[in-house]
Amino acid sequence: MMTDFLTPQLPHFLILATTLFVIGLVGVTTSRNVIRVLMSLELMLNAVNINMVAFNNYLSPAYGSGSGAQFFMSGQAFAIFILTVSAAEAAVGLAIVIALYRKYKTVDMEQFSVLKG
Amino acid sequence: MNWPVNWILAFLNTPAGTYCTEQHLFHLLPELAILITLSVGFWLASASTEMERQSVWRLSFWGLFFALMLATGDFFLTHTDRATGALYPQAVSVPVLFDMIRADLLFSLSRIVLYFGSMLVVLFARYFVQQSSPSHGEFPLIILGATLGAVLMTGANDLIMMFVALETLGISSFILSGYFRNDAKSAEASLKYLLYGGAATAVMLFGMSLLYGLSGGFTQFPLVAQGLAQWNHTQFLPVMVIATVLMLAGFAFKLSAAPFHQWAPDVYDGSPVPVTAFLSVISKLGAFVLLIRVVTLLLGTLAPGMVGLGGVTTSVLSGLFAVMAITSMVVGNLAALRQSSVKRLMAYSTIAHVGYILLAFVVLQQAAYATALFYLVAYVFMNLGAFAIITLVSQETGRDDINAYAGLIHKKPLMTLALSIFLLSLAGIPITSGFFAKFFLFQTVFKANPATLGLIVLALLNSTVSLYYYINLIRLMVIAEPSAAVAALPRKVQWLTAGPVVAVVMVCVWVTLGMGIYAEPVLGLARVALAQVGTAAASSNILFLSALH
Repeated sequence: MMTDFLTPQLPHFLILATTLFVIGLVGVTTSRNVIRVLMSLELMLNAVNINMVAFNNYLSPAYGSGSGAQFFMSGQAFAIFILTVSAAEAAVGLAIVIALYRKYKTVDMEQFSVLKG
Repeated sequence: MNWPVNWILAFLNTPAGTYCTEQHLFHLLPELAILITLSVGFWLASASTEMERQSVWRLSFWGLFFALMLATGDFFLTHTDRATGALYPQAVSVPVLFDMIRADLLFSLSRIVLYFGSMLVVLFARYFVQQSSPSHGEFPLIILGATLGAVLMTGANDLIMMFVALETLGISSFILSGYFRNDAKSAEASLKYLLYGGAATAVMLFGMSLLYGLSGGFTQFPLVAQGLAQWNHTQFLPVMVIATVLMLAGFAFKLSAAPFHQWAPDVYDGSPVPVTAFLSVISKLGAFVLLIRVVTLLLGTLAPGMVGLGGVTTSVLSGLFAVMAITSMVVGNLAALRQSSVKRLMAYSTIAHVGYILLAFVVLQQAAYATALFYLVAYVFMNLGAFAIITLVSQETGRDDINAYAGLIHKKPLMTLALSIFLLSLAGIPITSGFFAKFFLFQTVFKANPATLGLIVLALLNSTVSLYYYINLIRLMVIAEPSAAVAALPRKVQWLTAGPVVAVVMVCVWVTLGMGIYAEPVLGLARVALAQVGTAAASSNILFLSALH
């Protein structure tokens, strides 16, 4: 019974992913430091990655080999796409932060207030 | 009249009749043209001489034009009978790239509008952008990239393709809105857009990952819908509702629908004017067409026998759309009343229009989506025309506030007339396309579900409110004394810088009035396109089986 509880199952991964996602969401909404906001965004995306890979492994485990083995790898493929795209997004985000830092000498969100919402 | 078609067929060495069944990848020829233009363009943009860098603008324009021609050719080849010129009665829905993209009538039509719209943006953006950052030629190329993303969105039939297309459009838009990086407003707008957009994408992705798991490991829209219907686990219903809400929240961000609209006024205000035009038009069309596909195919609200999420979630979906529509209309129109910047005014007007269009999603029926598509196409041209004139005023006076437009009629009578036509169309005054768009939309929604009467009355009240701020701008231009900025304008038209804008405005006036006069045929085409999306969903059973074995 104890070993069953300790063996990682699908719910463990889902709980981990949800926790990470919520931490990321809180970080995005409350942080004033732009770099920290970007990091929280990455956290949210990585939570999605964990979800994708965990679901894929649960639904189509890599049991069996040879011609009889069936693989549906779309979740893993999705995770790789998310990694790639989030890297591109982080690159653009950091470039913008550098442009703003040159102007304001700060990365504090509250200081960027030319546009009044 | 068939010679261009025959010529293209001969060029592709394709026997007549096999085009749409065997040569699947040829449906993406326009996108291939855009990709080639992009590669050549980035090579040119990094070239050493000024002249080569300037040629990027011309290259991008002709690249888009060529893609538009290819897309039009593909439409005639795939969807019309070559003998009679009429649309094929049966649905043509070709799976391209392992069914990641569905090349159907909706895809064909919306990409023609998207390429046309982007072409107009590149045309009128040139002198505005070159005035502010003369030596950079990348601007039109990023527009091309963003257009590619929007086009792929309109055809997406797979969660992965949907995500990649959304991000292609998204990341390009972040770069575009921060293009004048030495301008504090532009850089700040870009940062805000990136942070809000990134969070929206992450939220939407989390919803997608839940749908992926619940469907049993599928990513293609119809297969996900069938997977959800097959499980029939009532204990998973809350998770399904959460996944749906997360995806819709992401969409609301992308569409700038209230209550997730806060980024839009700031980003629209801070971005360069042509970028504001692009964001309010091209990305809205792409996102709405994708939303139609997601709601019908992925969430399976459509075909009998495959009600994916069951009756409970259908009503949840409908309720969420109603809330989004009401808040967008009210917030957009009320906030637009007290704006002094034209760009912010147009931003709130966009939010209001998104609210009207979302009414079509409340009833969840194909006929209503068809009127939404009509509304979007009309909106693309009237808004682009208005923004072309805003760009012209901005590049000649250097101002974006409403008072800069006072007495414009004394210096630019024809431009004032054109802007008045676009504003009246946005307000929904008869004989313009905007009136018929609203009329068809409200009428169809009411017919589909008479219980929406309250919503429609609210929408009509909102249209009346919107009339105030549109007419106010016209009143300023026509009646008020010329402002200092307008008085300083030269009387003579500078054709070198104003010529492209005049061309764009002429095209947009023509389409805005033409779509008013020939409203029925255009709406008919939209109806057929949306009806065919439905049949494609029903015929996906065969693909479902072939995916399993």
